[in-house]
Amino acid sequence: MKAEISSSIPRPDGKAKASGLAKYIGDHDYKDALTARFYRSDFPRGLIRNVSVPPLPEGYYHINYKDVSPEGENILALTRKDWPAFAEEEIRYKGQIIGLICGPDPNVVDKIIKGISIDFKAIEPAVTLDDSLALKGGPLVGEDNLLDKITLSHGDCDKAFSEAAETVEGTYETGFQEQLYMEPQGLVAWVENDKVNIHGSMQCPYYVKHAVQEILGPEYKVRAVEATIGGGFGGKEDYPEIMGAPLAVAALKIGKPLRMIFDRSEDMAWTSKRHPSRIKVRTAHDKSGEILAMDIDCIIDGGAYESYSLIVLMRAVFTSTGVYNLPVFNVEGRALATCTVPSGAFRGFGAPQAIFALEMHMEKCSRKFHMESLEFKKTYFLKKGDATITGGKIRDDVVLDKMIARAEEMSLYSHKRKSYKDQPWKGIGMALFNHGCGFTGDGEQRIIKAKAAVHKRADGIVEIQSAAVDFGQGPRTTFRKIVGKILGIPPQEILYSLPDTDVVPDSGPTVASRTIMIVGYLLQEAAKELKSNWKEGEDQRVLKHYEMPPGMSWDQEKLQGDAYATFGWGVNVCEVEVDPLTWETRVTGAWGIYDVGVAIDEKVVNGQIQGGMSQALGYGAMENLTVDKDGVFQQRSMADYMVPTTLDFPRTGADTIDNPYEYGPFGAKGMGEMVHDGGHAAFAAAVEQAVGRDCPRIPLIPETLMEIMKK
Amino acid sequence: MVETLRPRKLDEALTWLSERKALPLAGGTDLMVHFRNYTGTDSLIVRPVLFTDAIDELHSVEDLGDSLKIGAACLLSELENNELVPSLLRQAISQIAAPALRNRATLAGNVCNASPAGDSLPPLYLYDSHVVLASSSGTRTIPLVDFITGPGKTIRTDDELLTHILVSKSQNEKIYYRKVGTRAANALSKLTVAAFAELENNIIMDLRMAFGAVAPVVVRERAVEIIFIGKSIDQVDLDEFRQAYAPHIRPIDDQRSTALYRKEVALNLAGDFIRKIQENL
Ligand SMILES: Cc1cc2nc3c(=O)[nH]c(=O)nc-3n(C[C@H](O)[C@H](O)[C@H](O)COP(=O)(O)OP(=O)(O)OC[C@H]3O[C@@H](n4cnc5c(N)ncnc54)[C@H](O)[C@@H]3O)c2cc1C
Repeated sequence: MKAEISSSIPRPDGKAKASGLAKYIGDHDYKDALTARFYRSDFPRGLIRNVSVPPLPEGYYHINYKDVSPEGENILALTRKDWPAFAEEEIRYKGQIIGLICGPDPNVVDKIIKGISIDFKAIEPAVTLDDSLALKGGPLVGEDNLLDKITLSHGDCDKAFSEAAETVEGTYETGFQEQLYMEPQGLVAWVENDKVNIHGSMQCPYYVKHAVQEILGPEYKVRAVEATIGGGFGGKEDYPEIMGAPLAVAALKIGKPLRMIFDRSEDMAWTSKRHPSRIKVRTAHDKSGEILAMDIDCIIDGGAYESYSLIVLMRAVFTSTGVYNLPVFNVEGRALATCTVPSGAFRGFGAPQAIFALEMHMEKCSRKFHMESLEFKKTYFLKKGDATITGGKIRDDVVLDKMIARAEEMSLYSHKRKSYKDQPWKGIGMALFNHGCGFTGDGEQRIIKAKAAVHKRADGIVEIQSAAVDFGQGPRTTFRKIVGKILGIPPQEILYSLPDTDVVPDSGPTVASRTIMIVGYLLQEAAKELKSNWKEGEDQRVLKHYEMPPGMSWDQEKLQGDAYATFGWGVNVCEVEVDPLTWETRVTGAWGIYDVGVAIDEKVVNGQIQGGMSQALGYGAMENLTVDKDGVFQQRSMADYMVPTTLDFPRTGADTIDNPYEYGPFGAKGMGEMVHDGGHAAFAAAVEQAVGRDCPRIPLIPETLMEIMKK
Repeated sequence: MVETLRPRKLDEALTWLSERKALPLAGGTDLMVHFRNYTGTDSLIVRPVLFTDAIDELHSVEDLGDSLKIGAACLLSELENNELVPSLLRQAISQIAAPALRNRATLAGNVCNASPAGDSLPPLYLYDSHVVLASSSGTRTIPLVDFITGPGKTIRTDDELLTHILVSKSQNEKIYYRKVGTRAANALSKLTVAAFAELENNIIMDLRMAFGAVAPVVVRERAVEIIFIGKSIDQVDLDEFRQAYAPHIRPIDDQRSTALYRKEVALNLAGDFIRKIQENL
């Protein structure tokens, strides 16, 4: 039986989006706005000697680091202050923002930008992870190109390896991935009554406000307002800050509204992508194959600046033993600097990389010991009460067995797995994973400190106040259902306007699978309080602050304790056929069974499952994104970067198993990211069965598969 | 602003082409991409654009007995559904892009664009197709192989309009078409292979094979075909067949695939064609 709240309602924002009435930032008519465009370094690494900009006609402006006011700081306020908003002398990647050109006619702006020439002293770029490790061109960061390094260990790993009867070793690699949200990045900035306003497409209005505040200095007031957003997938977590900070400097200096809407090619070439990874896994086994210890060396490619690499790395490391209880392990995680666009946020945030390495390694171990991989994996399943990799606790029931049983029922996994042993070029694979919900560690408590409110006006109309944005994942539906259900009001009658930092409390960024579980819970609790105090005809507002669930603890120094309050869990199955003439793979079936606590809306959850699976399969099978010798992405158009169409993959057979979580609204947990965590691993495992070889590298495009088969 | 011309008569079109140096636009699905500029800025097209879609004379598919005369304004979707068109060509067309694009784009555009990855070209090469070029000073009919001289290059002069494509009507029994694209739809080709054979009592009476996207222009080697014509199909050695084509397949690495892959797979598919016929005997 599914919870009553799960049955779907029409999405309140659906009609406007489907009919074209919804206004995205590009649809807003800022009549007097000037067109603003960045100009960028046209070389990958070196020192700028001089920038020569053609003479500017009347009404045109050139803005660079010199225009940052002395009270402000020419820096992007992301996690670490290492990335100048405008490059001054040092260039670390081709495409780095140096300045801005603004003016009334986009054609003239375009011409000015094409006429800019930069004189520089070139330094040899370190483009690949190997270049970075070899310190090609000298270190880019510190002495060793390490942006971040973290380690976790438990038990005596060395001893286990020295006593092992067998060891299994593998190196697993994943590539860049482009978010390819439908609406490109876009912001409008203007100054009004001494306040700097930013309006546009952003996942995290308060992050944008903060970044703009930092570059301008404390005496300016800043406001960020959300426009309807056409997709994000993490791509609008960091980039609106990277774009908004310099744009705000320009708007303040020029005193006119500025409009910056990226062209698709600018967006694809220069905005943040998923961190590529190279993860080496070694396991020590006894004679029977049992795992005695696991040693993981995880490297991610951070690109030229820190951005969010530490947080991505933490999630990768904290996810690296997945759903398995392995008491003896050692994990070292490193984020390396390279001369490429700084890697950024993307749905899953390090977890898809870690899960790929882990699941492919478990496949490899099971082959080595002639065991069925699911049987091999089952021995180690985490259960309630077990320790997590960071020495925290699994606090809730683990229903993996039920999920696997459902997956078996829907996909006939074990039956097919067996029968494909005798059928050439056919395979089926399964991947298991969990995804910590919310910010890593005590981030929610220490950094985010979320607040959300339910407001009842004197006329009885109820309004949700939250900074969470709906970029397709559904809070405009689910938040209304949560509040409406508690208050006994039809969800459609509840107001929920586009977040404006002057109006709504800071409920945190719309990231990290935290929206339903953290913000939704605050809204549920606020609604409950409002209900118990409801006074007809009065204006009432209940504001709720986040509190860590009781019993949870985290030591940020030692990285010990509960890295996540709870986890979403998933089982993915993928079935493939391989064409031995062309090495093309065809996915003939895909299934996803999840523990999301409770679905607040079945259709919203199903939408996430369908889209997440396509994105994960695209990541695994086709989304090839490579860089040239200058570190520039080679697939910069939609003709060259291949995201799946509806014809590429079948519809995912989807289901959820209810497992209510005490501190989530109506028992709901986070799920927006985990639907991207396992599809690629299940796919690669299926291909391994079909071809009978190790496939440790994604995307497993036909070219890669041919290389594997010809070895 | 781009100046647009939309003649209804061919004569008018030809006059504008020569006098106004107009740029022909059929579906625009290549042209618009070619001239794209940063969003929000003006088009890079400086010449007037001449739309071919209103010229009635260019809309018909005329049956000439042995061959078809396909008008330059015929849409890919029309040809895809026209049973007079050789089924090999129809197969190739049906795998171009997606339905919306095929409702807009033309065969003439695909030919004039002369891309090494133009999907209609390998079948058109197999059928020794010709193009008809017209200008105010007359018309000329030219074999397609002579028309296309390199990637994006043709011998068409600025004042000429491609008015028709002449294609054989032959409907062969043993046909083979395989597009290896970057995904299932809306994908450009990494390589394509088109082939047909005519057999009589297992003797190869005719055999033709063409490869797309593995060289600057479509690869079709009559000299290789002749080696095998006259032989009995079950005596064709697959390795020998592959080897005969190997020197002619000279692909490159690009953002869509690798030379290594293109060559290997092109030869695999070549062998597959022969094997399929042998297995069906
Ligand atoms: C999303 C997408 C997917 C695509 N997928 C494929 C694919 O799978 N396979 C493939 O082969 N192509 C593909 N293409 C390319 C393109 O759609 C085809 O080449 C199409 O056939 C071009 O036809 P058109 O009528 O649109 O040509 P246009 O763009 O109108 O013209 C193309 C060129 O021919 C010239 N021209 C047109 N008509 C005449 C004429 N009568 N006389 C002289 N010159 C003329 C034009 O000036 C221009 O230079 C794709 C394009 C897009 C945008």
